[in-house]
Amino acid sequence: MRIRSLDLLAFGPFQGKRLRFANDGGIEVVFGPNEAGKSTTRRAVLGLLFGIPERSKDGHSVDEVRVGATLIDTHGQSLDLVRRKGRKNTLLTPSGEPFDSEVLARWLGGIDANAYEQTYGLDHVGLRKGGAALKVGNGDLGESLFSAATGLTGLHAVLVALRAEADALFVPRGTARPLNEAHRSYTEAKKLASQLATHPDEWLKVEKQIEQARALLETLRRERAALAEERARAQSIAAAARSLDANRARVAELDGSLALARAELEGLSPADDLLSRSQTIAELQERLGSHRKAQLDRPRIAAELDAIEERARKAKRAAPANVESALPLAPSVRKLVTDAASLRARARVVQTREAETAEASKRAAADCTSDVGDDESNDLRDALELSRSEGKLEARLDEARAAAARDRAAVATRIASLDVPAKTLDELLAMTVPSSDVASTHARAAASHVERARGASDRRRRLEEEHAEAERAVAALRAEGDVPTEESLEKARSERDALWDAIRDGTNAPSGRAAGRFERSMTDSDELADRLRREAARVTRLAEAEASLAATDRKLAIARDEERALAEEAAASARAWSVLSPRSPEETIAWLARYESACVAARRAIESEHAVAPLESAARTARQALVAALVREGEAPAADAPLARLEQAAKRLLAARDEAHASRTVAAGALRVAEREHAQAVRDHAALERDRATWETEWSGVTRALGLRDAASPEEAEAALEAAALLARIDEEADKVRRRLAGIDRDAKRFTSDVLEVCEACASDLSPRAPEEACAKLARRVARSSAERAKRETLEEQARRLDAQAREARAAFDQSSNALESPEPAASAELRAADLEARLVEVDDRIQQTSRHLGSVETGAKEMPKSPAVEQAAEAQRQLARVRDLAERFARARLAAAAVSRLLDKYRRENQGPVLTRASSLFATLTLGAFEGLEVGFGESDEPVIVAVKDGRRLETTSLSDGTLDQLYLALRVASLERLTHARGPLPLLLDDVLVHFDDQRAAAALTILSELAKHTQVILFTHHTRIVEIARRAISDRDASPTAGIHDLGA
Amino acid sequence: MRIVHAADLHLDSPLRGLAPYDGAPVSAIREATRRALENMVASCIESKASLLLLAGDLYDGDWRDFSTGLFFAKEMSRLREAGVRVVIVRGNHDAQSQITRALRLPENVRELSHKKPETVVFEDLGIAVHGRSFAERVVTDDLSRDYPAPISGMLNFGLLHTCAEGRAGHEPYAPCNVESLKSHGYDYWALGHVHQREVLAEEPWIVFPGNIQGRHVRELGAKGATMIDVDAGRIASVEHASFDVVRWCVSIVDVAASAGVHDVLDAAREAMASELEAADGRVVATRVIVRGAESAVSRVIGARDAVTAELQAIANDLGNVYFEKLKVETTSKAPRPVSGEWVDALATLADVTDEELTSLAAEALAEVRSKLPLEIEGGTDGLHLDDVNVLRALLNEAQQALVAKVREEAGEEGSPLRGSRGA
Repeated sequence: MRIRSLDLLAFGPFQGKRLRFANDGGIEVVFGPNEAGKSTTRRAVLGLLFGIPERSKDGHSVDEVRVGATLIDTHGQSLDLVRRKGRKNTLLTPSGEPFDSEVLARWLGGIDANAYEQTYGLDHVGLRKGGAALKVGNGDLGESLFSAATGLTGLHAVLVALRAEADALFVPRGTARPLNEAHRSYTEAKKLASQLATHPDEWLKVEKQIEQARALLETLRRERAALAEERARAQSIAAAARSLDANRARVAELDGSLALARAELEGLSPADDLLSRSQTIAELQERLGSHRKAQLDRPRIAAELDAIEERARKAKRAAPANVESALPLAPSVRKLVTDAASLRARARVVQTREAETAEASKRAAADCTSDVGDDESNDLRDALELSRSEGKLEARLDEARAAAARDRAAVATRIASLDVPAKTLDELLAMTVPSSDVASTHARAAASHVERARGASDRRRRLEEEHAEAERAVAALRAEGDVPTEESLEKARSERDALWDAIRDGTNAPSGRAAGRFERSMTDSDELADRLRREAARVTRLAEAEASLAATDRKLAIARDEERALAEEAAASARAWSVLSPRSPEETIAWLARYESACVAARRAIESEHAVAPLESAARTARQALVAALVREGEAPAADAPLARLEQAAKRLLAARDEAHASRTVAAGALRVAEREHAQAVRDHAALERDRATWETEWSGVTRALGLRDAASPEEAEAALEAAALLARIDEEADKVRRRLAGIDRDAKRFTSDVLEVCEACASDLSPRAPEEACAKLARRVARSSAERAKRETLEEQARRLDAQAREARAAFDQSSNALESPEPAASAELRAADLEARLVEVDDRIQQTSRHLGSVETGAKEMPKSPAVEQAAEAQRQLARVRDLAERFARARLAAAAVSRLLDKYRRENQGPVLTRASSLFATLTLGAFEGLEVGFGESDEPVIVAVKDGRRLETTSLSDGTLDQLYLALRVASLERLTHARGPLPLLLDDVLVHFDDQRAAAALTILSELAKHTQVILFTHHTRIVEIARRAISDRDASPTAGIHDLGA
Repeated sequence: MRIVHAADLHLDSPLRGLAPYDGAPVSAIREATRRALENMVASCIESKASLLLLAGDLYDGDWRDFSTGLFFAKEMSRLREAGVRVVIVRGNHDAQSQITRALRLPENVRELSHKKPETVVFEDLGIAVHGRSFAERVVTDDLSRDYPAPISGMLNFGLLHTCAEGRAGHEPYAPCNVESLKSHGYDYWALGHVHQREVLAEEPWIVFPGNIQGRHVRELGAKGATMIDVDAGRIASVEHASFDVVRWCVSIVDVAASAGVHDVLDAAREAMASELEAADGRVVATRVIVRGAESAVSRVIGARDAVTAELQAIANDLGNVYFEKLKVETTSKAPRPVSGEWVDALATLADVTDEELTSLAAEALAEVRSKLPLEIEGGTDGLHLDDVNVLRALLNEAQQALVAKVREEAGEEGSPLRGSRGA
């Protein structure tokens, strides 16, 4: 398969770019500088053949991307295809129909994109890698050949990696590699699980231990119970014996105490009669203190009484004679003294008031005397009212008069503008005028006449011009010469025919003349016919011009008639109007408007005139009334004074009068008030005088009672009252002291008798003469007796208690002595109990030990279901799974490595001979003869390797330069491709700047080899080096082809 | 009245296939079978069950740790305290087990004889249980044939450890015919031995309750016991109840052709999360199966180690998830070039005959095979390195990984051929 043409319809930077390949068996060079789309073109080829990757960047929207091509196979059959970008049905026919991708796959021999690119694509990086791999792999023959054939340059590395992977997982005698390690872990876990497993015998042993321990424990517990019982018995015997002893001792002790208490009781004898009066004695004891104090105070109080009585005697002597009677009068005296002061104050007020009111009355009376006259001025008020009721009469009259004058003037102006004989308004209104409708009808008719007359005259003028034009045209055509006409031809022909008839009939013997005439005639008619034909256009034009002239003539006559008729119609209309109005209808319309407004103004003027007269009469009446009223008021108004001035005067007069009336009313009110107040003041004075007389009467009564003279002053009266009060106070004091002395004496007497009574009852030994001493002694005796009685009560209580205890103790003793069946001494019982206790402790110890043992065995038994073996077994399974996984990985890597080796070996065996032979010769060419060729050598492990032969020496790949390795790889690659093409048929080889590292000579050599290959299969070399293009151009021209045939410039 | 029917406790049988990794929830799955039994016993006590029927295989036959038996006895004692009676027949494993022989069970537990069929009558419950234990590991006779006739007026239960009519992955012990079980006249056949729950018939009921705790990736889904409710002397309802503590599952990721490794991981996370949610708070042990066209899964295969680590991390992140293993299944193969043309030759790497493959393996794997424990070949997920199909699967996967790796190395920046491609 070859590509005949590649259409970059829409791909990368290209739009409708076509590359047409020569397919002449030569190499195709596609040149494009960087960024010109060289690699895009290469991608386009791949995209076309295998589909366009979804994620490629193609510079177009997905729907637009298109690559087309025409392919041809070795039989010359061609296939036109378009590839679009997408997921389904991306292969199309040029017309856009889906195309079966299987067909293309067959054309490609079933190869897929990866294999195609690896096998049929090569760039300088791939070349370098291939060369480098030759070195790395020591030129292993199988690897090298395989790599060159398939383009898989990394195969050696892969093989090494696979082996390394396997070795990293497992080595037969290793321990640390994962698989070895996992295997060991598995074995260990398994072993451990087995070791940790519990054997049934272990369980049986434990069960037996538990059984034994439980039995032992049971025995021990029974033994312990028996011991405990015995010990309890011994202990209770000991306790009973001990309590018997204690009870006995207690009974004896209590009996002793009881005897003591009783003996003490007998020594006690309190005085009961004294104690029965202890309350009375305690009271006497309390009274003793106050009794003693009273006896001490009595002489001092008696002296005090004497002094008071002396003071009383002195005061009595100093006081007035009947001072005793003064005290009851004291309130009356005090009231009268107060009344006197009050009377004095009132007298001052009453006098002042009387004087003031008298003065005010006088003043008010004076205010009232001024006269203002009583005349009512009603006439004036009415006249003013009348004048006012008409509003501002004079102003309105002036206004009416001014309006009438203004309207009259306006009418006059309008009448003047009308240009009519009417002088008065009524004449004006009575005028006869045409109606505005008639005027506008006439105006419209006149305007129509004018318009139609203008149209008619225009038409006429135009026709006149056309007429002149037509005349000119006819004249001009005629001036061009005689115009042949059908008629003249007809004429000439009939003439000729006549002549011919004549000649034929022989009527006229054919003479030379006749013949000559006939000939002339024939010539004329022929000429005329010819002219008629030749000048047919002119003939036609003349005929047309003449026809046009005639038509214009007719039209002109009609136009002139029309014009005349219109003029007559207009004149008739004008005559009819002139009867109606001297003015034209248009003027009349305007005039009528003015006339109408004049009439309106005239009517208004008449109305204004009518308004003036009533106002004048009203003003006159008002004035007369006002003047008359004013004259009556004593005013002398000017007869011609304006009405407003008269009104003002009247108003002023009325206001002055109203003010005077008001002030007189106020003065009269004030006088009445002043007179009322004065009368009251006089009445108050009289009352005061009455009160003063009454007071003086009462006062003289009082002074007399006090023993003073009648005219005694209030001060004297008060001094008398004070002396009386002092005397009374002293008497009262004396009485108080006297009562106190009497009380003291009475108390002393009662105390003495009370003491005496007690002594007689229960202490006859005490002397009644000294009641105070007796009282103290009594108190002491009571205290002593009371203490004795308390002690006796305590002792009695104690004795009772002791008695009860003793009885109880005796009962207890009896009981415990009864309880002891076989009376055993306490000490012996206790000894026995202690012995039993020791044995119990011993048994308890053994029980504890056995329990602990049982517990631990049981705990062990409980733990037995828990098993570490289970977890170890799980761990063993985990490790086994790991072993399995690792073994699988190991097996995969090992198998893969073995399979790869086998593959390489197989390839080597099948291809070694032919490929190596061909490559050897290509290598010699590529190295320009520096190397003679290639041979098979053997490496360190006797594996076959490629060696290069130079000057008869065999050089291993490791000693070759990078450039030489590139050439060696290229030689192997080309040789393989030749073989592949031979086996599979051709597929385009895509080379991307493979020669960049070659110098010019070697590049030329390489191009020669590639050109050789191109005879068998299409070789497309992409380059962006002009150098390579030039070398290629030379190579192409060397093979006698067109020097540009295989060069494709992407930039062009 | 409630009767609980369980079988195949396989107490202390370890969970298999769970390789350790950092963060794996190892302690959460510890002693899973014991926890499952505890759950069941608790349920019996709580629901006041009258009777527990255990249809054999209480222990793994080769398990020698007596602790396991003691644990079982302890749980039975708990049932005794609650008044729950228990009837057991021995299964093939129990017949082989040392534990069975030495263990004494509490008096509420009745183990039926292996010498002849036996009937236990619970007069108070109106129930008769017929059954027979395995006498030895291998029993190939139909034991059910000799089971006694039903007792009329009683609800009759047949307790039988059997492979029924044969079940894949289970030893063909004590086979029996379902039709003859049906016609035997019992009301309920309580079977054991098959680990997958299965109701063989409903009239009468013939039920495998399945085991109570899945132990590896072949024992998927909810595990537990069958709860039988009896009302008025008739079976009113038969329902499964889950008692497992670790739920085995497979998270399947169907990969689209265009999916990258990250898409696969996202989908795997989603699948694992949904399994976790369905497990109702249990720990989930999951295998992840990535399947799709060769071109899609090869990307996963090429990065198998990294993807495995990511899946472990996702499991850790989700919490309570134990990632078991990554499996890749190719649903459709990419077209192969014709061998011998040497185009895309790596694709033909695995195109070898069985003989070639066997000889390759013999050379490449002889050493490791001699070193590995035999157990990796055993069990349900054994690695048989002498099986040509296993080898072929390994080589296929290796080849895909290799192609992915080589292309990665060959692939250049911006190569148009990388990434997905329209059809």
